[in-house]
Amino acid sequence: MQKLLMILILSIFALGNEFVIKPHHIEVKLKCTDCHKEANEKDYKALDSNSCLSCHGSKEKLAKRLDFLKGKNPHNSIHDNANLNCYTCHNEHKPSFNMCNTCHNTKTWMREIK
Amino acid sequence: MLNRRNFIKTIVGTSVAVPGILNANDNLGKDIKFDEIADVIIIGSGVSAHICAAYLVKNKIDVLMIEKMDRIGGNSALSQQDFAVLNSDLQIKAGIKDSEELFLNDLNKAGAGYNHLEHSLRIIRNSNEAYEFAKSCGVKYADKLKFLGGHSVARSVETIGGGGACISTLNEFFIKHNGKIKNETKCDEIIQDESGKIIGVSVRENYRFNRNLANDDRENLSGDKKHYKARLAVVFATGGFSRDIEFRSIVNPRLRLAKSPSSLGQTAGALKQMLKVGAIPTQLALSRFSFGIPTEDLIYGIMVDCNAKRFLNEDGDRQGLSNKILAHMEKINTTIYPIIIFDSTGFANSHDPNRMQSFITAGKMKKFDSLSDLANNFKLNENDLSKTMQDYETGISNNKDEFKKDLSKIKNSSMSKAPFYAMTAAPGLSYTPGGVYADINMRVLNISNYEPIKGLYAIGEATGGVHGQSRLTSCSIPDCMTSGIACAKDILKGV
Repeated sequence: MQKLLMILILSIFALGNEFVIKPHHIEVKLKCTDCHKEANEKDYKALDSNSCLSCHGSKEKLAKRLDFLKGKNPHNSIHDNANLNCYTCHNEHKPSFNMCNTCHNTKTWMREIK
Repeated sequence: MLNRRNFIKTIVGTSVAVPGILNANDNLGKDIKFDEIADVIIIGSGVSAHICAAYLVKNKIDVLMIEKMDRIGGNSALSQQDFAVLNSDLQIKAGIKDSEELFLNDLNKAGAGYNHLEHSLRIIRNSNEAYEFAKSCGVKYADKLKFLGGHSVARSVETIGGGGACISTLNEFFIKHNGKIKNETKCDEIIQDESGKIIGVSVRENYRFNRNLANDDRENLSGDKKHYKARLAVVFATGGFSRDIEFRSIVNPRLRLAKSPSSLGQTAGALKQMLKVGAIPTQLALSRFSFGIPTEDLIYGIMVDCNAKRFLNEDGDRQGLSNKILAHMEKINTTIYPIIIFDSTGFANSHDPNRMQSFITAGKMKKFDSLSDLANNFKLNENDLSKTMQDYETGISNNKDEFKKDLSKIKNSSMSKAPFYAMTAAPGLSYTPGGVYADINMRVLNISNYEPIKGLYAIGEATGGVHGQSRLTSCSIPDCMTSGIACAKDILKGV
């Protein structure tokens, strides 16, 4: 019984660890419930872009901040304008994914995204 | 006790009462409650989809477009969209003499005669109408013609802003004319009525494509199941399958090791759905490769495999070279792409030095002051590489190349003068010429009787047999656009 309890506690601990939060979000002390509005943790779903934009403003505003990249602005690209969802590249609980990098070598003009 | 046989019986028994849940093949539309209804449902959002949609909404047809990805436009949004047009305003203005025969000859030469003649003519004869229609929707073209490889005259117009601008312009036009679009909505299955007519599709909304899965079509369970009804037609504008490594390796094992530069969503799922309702698969084994560097320059350098050895005559077209590279990689059992190397003399011989320079700026090609830097960077054995280069030079001085390269064409290029320039030579499968067979009104034909499957159309890269062995450059856009318009016109006939 004690062993079973131990396994249970350990697995809950592991589950908690699985959902790490990005350093810049830890800095502003974000809690799970700041983004996930469901009452029960079990019901948490992947977020849509509006959840991100409730803090970060609009896609247009985010695009403007990278205007200095001129023709290579990932938030306002020649392929997609400002139409992509945040999560197409940015992940909160796992490493993000630079989609531009699937075709272009972005090292010469873009920082790595975390 | 419920043994296996009884269990199966029970499931079959209940499937009548609960259609679509226990029995995935029960797609007869009898008891389905539809969540959305439109005149026409278009699957996909590339240039074929958008032109077809634009033509339909302009004629007051109610269109719902669905796209499984977050990105609108698929491969079209990535493409440069050069557009071969017969007798365009620009050709007339420049006084260029072009003709159906000339264009057909060029298409057949590239296609090695595998192309279906009626589709070649469909592209040629309707290219100018499609170009004018795209302009009327707001798509902008540069005021000069391009004379591209494989074409016997200058006939290609250049899309200003490329595919991204084209798609966003057409999308704006579509929305302005009351078109509806849902992205992250994946079509799972085609719904037929008892007579076999296509009456809708079952989809999943809020679908999130997962690039990390080996096969997203089969393994991704995300999204909420819905049923959409189409009053007039379902149009598959679903592109090719160049990203579907599993499928393309079955239709042609040689394609297994090719790089995949296409849009992430280019899987074979949509093709399989059409085959399930009886479509005819055509020319699925064919391929079209893109290559990171203009292949006419390769003759000035050497290509070496991961053992630092040459294995081919570097003089060739991208299709031929790509096939040889992939065959060699299979033979020596590696997934590492070969390296193309120029010394400073070979580099200077490029037909487009500015472009070569841009590869260096972009980080695609690297410059090395010494051979050991180059060898280290690409993890090649320096001694072996040095020997390969010496053998090549010996060949040049004896005027006899090991791989029968015509050395009179290399403009005194050598392989010993630093700095050296090198990049990976990866054949990229960017387009799959195969697909389902459709008639010139883009109606998908049934394999059992070669009659159209009622209510089902396919346009653009989703169709097969149009371009034959190799698609002529700048001929995808006229194919996509003329097929989109032909499909729209045929749907309008039934209204």
